[in-house]
Parts: sequence; C-alpha cells; structure tokens
Amino acid sequence: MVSTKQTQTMPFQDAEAWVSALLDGELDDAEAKRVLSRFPDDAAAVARWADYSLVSDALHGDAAGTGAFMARFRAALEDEPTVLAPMPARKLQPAPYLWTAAAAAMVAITWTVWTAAPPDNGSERMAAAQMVAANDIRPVGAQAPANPLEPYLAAHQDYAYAVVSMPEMVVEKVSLAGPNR
Amino acid sequence: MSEQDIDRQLVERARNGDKRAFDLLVQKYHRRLMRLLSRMVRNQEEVEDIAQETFIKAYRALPQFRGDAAFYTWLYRIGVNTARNYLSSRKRQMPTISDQAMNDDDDVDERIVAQDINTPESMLLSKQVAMAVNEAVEALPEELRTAITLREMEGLSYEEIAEMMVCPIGTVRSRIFRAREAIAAKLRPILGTTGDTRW
Repeated sequence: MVSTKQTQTMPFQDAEAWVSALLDGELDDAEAKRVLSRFPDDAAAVARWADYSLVSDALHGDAAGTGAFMARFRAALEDEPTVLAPMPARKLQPAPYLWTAAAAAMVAITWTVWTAAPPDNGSERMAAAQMVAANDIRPVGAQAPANPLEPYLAAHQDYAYAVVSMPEMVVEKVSLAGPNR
Repeated sequence: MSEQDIDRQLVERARNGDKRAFDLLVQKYHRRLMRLLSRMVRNQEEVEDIAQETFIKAYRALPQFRGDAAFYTWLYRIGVNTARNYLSSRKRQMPTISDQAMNDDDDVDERIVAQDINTPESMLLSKQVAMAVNEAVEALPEELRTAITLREMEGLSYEEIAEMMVCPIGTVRSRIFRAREAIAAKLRPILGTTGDTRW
C-alpha cells in the first residue's frame, strides 16, 4: 500500500510546480511562504500564476476579458496612490482545548494543595503565636530558653497526646514538663 | 496554507505598498468577478468597466479589509454594490435573477449569461478557448486528466485525490502541475501570451 501521506519534496527550481500547488492552497506554511517570497519579482512564477488561474477559469468556462482587461486595469492601478496601511497583527486566540486543559490543571493543583496541606485551624495558630510571644518576654540579659518552643509546649501539655501503639490507635496523655519545671 | 491565507498574505503585501501583489489577486479573480457581474449587466464592455471599478474600489478600501472574511467574498460584495449603483445611475432594470441565485454563482442558469452579453469577438474567443481546453484535456495522459479533473471539476483536495488514485500526494501535485502546463501551452497561442515575463 502506498502511503498517501508521504511528502515528496520537489526541487525548488521547479517553481512552476510550486505555484500550481500554491494556487490550490496545498502547500504548508513554510512552503507557501517560500513561494510567496518569490512574488512578484520572479517573472516566471508570476506568469505561471496568471496561466494557471486562466486554466482553472477556462476549465469552468470562463476565459473572457483576459489580456485586454489586465492591461487596462494595470494602467488604472498605476494612477492610484499607493496604499500604505499595514495590517495590524492578529491577536492570538487560544484554542478551546487550551481553556479545558487550563481548567483541568487548576482543579488538579487545587486538589493537590487541599489534600496535602495539614488541617488548619487559624484561631489555634493565632493563639499559639500570641502565647509564644507572651512567654518570650523576659528581662534584658536573661538567658533565652534553649528551645524557644518550650514555653508554648509546656502551656499546651494538656493537649499533647502521643500515639503509643498501632493499629489500635491508643493514645496516652503525656507530660512535657520535666521534674524541675 | 489555505487559499484564503494566501490571499490574505497578498492583501497584506498590497497594504504595505506592493501594487504587484494586488495585481496577482486581480489575475486570480477577475474572470470570476466578471462572470458574476455578467448576471447583472448584459453588455460585456460594461461588465469590464464595472469589474475594473470594483478592483480599484477594493484597492482603495484595502485599509478597511480586516481579513475576517475571504478576500473574494469581500470583493464580491464590492462588485455587487458597484453593479447596482451603476444600474441605478443608468436607470436600467436588472435582469430578473433572484438575490439567492446571485449569492450562489454556481447555481445560476448559464443560459441567462449566454443570451446576449458577449460581442461576436468575445464569443469567438470564448469558443476557441473552450475548444482548445477540451482538446488539451482530451490529449492528456489518463493519470493527468484524472488528477486535474478531480481537482478542478470535483474540487477535491490533493490528499483526497491521492487516496483515490492510490499514489503519494507529491505525485498528485506533480500530475496537476503537468496537466495545467499542457493546457496552458494550448491556450497561449490563442490568447497571445507567452508564458514568460508579464511585468
């Protein structure tokens, strides 16, 4: 089975063949730009553009007014002031699938963050921070505790539990306060 | 790159001051436009005048062409409006062709067109061209004739033709090119063109 997708590269010196495909809109972007870059300075390419347009029209039964019309039109166009109005660059419109992909990514990220983050209790954290700050007030020159969290942990020892066995998940109340505290 | 994209590229060049790029668009579309206008105006010389005016108007209006529609669609609207204005100014009645028919130039009864729009000279030329094209197509090797027919008459893409003819797309491209060259060679003596420089 012969692959119909196979690309056969024609030598570019066969510019006429490329013009034929260009007229049919059958070149990819790079090829089309390459051929278009030869217009309108390449006289042979321009002539083929005219010829193949005529052949196409003639096959559809339209061949009137070819030579005389173009000569007359060119004379009229010469008298026209040259238009100078470059087209604004087109805004790139993201394809619809990009929006879908972006939404899916957003959902995935949100889910990951939501499930990975530890349970958050804002008020507890705030109270703890205030407690630490309050306990950290000491006279100038006093030695800071070795572990700055110790006062906080000591104050919250009633809430501290340790898992002592698995899988029964038996918890036991422990004390962080040492005998000398 | 589609035909519409190629037209847009040429429009862009014309808007950058390259009149010859606009000429390529005129080369491509003037016969099609004249066929359209022939359904509204019966006299061939008037058709050519209106076609020229249409293209000049289009050239002046290039800064307003946004590229949202195909170039020919845009040109078509200018052509129809120009013809209507022309007929209105001449206080002539348009032929009784419905707007729907004018909106689809392939559906119009060709007999209306053939009635009396052509001068004897243009009719002779059209006849000669038609005969030359028929002879050229008949003389083509079968694979070239099939390829050009599928493309021009059936409007198939190269890929579709390749599938039907069981050959690579490059072969289709080459066959269509060779068929066009052969037909153009038959037409050049009649139309007095050489196939060489047009500039």
